Amino acid sequence: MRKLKFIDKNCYGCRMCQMACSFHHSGRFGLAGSSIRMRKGDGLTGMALSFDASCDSCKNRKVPYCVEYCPYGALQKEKKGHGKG
Amino acid sequence: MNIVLTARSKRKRKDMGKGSGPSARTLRVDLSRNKMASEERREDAERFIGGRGVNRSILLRELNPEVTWAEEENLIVFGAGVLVGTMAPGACRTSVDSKNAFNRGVGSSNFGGHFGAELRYAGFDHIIVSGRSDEPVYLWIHDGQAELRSAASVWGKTTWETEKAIKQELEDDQTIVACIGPAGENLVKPSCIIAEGSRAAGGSGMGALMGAKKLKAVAVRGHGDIGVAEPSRFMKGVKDALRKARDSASGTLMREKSLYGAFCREEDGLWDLGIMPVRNGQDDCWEPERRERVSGGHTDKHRKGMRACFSCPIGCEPAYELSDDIGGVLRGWGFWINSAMAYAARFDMTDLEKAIQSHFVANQLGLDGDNAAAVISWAFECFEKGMISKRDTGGLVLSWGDPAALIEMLKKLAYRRDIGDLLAQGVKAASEALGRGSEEFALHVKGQDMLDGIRTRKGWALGIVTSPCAGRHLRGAIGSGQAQRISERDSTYGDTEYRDQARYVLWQEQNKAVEDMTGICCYLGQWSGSYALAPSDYTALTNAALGLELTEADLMEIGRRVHNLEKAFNTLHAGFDRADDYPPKRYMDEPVKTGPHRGARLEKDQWNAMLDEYYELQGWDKKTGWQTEEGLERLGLRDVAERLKQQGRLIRSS
Repeated sequence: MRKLKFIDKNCYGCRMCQMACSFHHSGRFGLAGSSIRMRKGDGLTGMALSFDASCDSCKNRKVPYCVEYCPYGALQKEKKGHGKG
Repeated sequence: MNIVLTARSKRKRKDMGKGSGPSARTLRVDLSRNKMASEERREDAERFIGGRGVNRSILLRELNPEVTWAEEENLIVFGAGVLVGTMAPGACRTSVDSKNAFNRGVGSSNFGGHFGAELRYAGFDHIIVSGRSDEPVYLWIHDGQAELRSAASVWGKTTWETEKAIKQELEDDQTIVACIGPAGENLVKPSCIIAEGSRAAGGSGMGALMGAKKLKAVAVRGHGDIGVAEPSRFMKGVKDALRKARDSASGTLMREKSLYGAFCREEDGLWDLGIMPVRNGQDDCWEPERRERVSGGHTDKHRKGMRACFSCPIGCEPAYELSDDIGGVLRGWGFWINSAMAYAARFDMTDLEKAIQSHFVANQLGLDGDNAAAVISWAFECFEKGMISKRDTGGLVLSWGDPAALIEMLKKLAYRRDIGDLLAQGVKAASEALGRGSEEFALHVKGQDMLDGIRTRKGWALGIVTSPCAGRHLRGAIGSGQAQRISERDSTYGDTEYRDQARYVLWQEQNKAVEDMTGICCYLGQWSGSYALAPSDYTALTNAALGLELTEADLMEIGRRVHNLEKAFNTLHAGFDRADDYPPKRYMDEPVKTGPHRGARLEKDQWNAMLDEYYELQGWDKKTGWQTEEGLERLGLRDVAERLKQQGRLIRSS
């Protein structure tokens, strides 16, 4: 399992990661079908993000969908390690 | 007690089969009878794709031209763009269309954020609201169902308070709420709908239109999903578009500093384009030493972060924190180029913090910034000229540059206090009621207050003045940026020339209609901002999503049809003709006083020639400005031609 790093200060809340994840699982776009849970934080900007158990880290792909399609560099691959960040 | 009614979306997972095209899943809500139903508008969708196109088609079919905006029979139609909720970059926009509260014609506005995506995930693409509730209500749409719930506890509250309270009541802080504030409730025409604290569906009196129906808010939340007809083709289009957004240098600046922070620094030259009127349009050039104090470069110290609309890789919305007057902190989002036009240049106001605060106050009250600033600045000029006094303003002195007076006037307008009651009707009606020569500097087009400076740049002026939604810049208004990009532009073309503008305006009208049908934000497109995407990208994404094989020209032609629907609506509902396609008197009679465009104005003879050229390209009649039978048939709009013919407002040949 690859470890993914979420840099919250980089996140603009566009939800592209969730849609890409949903597309990975079902070939369709949505938020509920994503393995990523995202909530608006209490501040003006910034999001809280977590992965649920359905995340398979896109194991057949070199770069996970959520990392590939994040336009803001908020989701990145950790170089080493296991589990989801 | 809540009225809980349910309408279930008829289709769930078969929304976009290959080659099936869009289906326009529509929720119909009758507030008078407490009834709801769902339907598909497949024919509208096949002809006009989605968003604004389908909305206007519905209105043209269903709304009686005799109905006025505040009457029970008026309709408000919400429509998410057909790509909203997918990964199409920037596809986040929802159109809200109705009758215009200022003039009986086209009412049309559009907002970004996350509303449209949640609406589509909840199972609907469009909402048709008819009737009028006896008591304040809000509409709660979630996962194929819809409910009308009491809004008694939030009636009277600001948009920010309302959003918070509805989320608490629904126990879901992820719900997206689009609501009106006190301005809309009080039927103030310069009002709007606000979603997520700052995303405004403005113009046309949109807040008042909802207020007249006692509809405080629409809240949406969906756990469904959306498919596309050809997933791998679609994802290729997404990748191409994301790459273009990433490669856009101006897009990168917007992402870091917001649109205003990126492009309105003193050194950017935008202040010198002549599009930002000063002191209610007494001039179109603001003295450099004054404007420098509010320029975009100064926003860095107040900006605390940025946020993006749904699926947007540009992310241009700033979040600001300011000190208030009593030692506290004000927080909010947004502040655009037109916010600086509205709350700084227009009032000769050089305090950036107060300009941003004015923007927050307007958003909280549910005022449309453009329209509100236009009518309030007219009042300031009336005060300056001695046409009104402290007796009219409740003791307030209206002097240029005074932020406290501006903020107090925003409140008076929203609550109709003192002269605010007169201003609530818009500048045309207010100036006609006041008289005393105040009509001379009442700046409106087709009866709706206007914000933009138009004396210098002629294509910009033509697009704004001929806009079907009356003096607004989001139709055909064009500057050199677009002309350079679309261009076969010849060497004689210039922004300040009259000739050869019409074809670019025509192009931009179609381009904007395509953006509003698909839901892709113009800040990713060709209007202003990142210039990342073009109609070829919209075509690729639309075809892949819907399983179609449209050419770029086909899609632009559909855009042209949509613009013609709006034109026909204005002819049928408001009786507009060529006489309504002229600029305000001030902009024809009084030249720009200072700066690089000193002396610029709109000369009547040359305006007439430009208008002739524009009508000819449109296939409209030059004498009346009306559409022609031949032109409409060429666009496949025979049904529209029939309607116009029945009212005697169709020209048989051009």
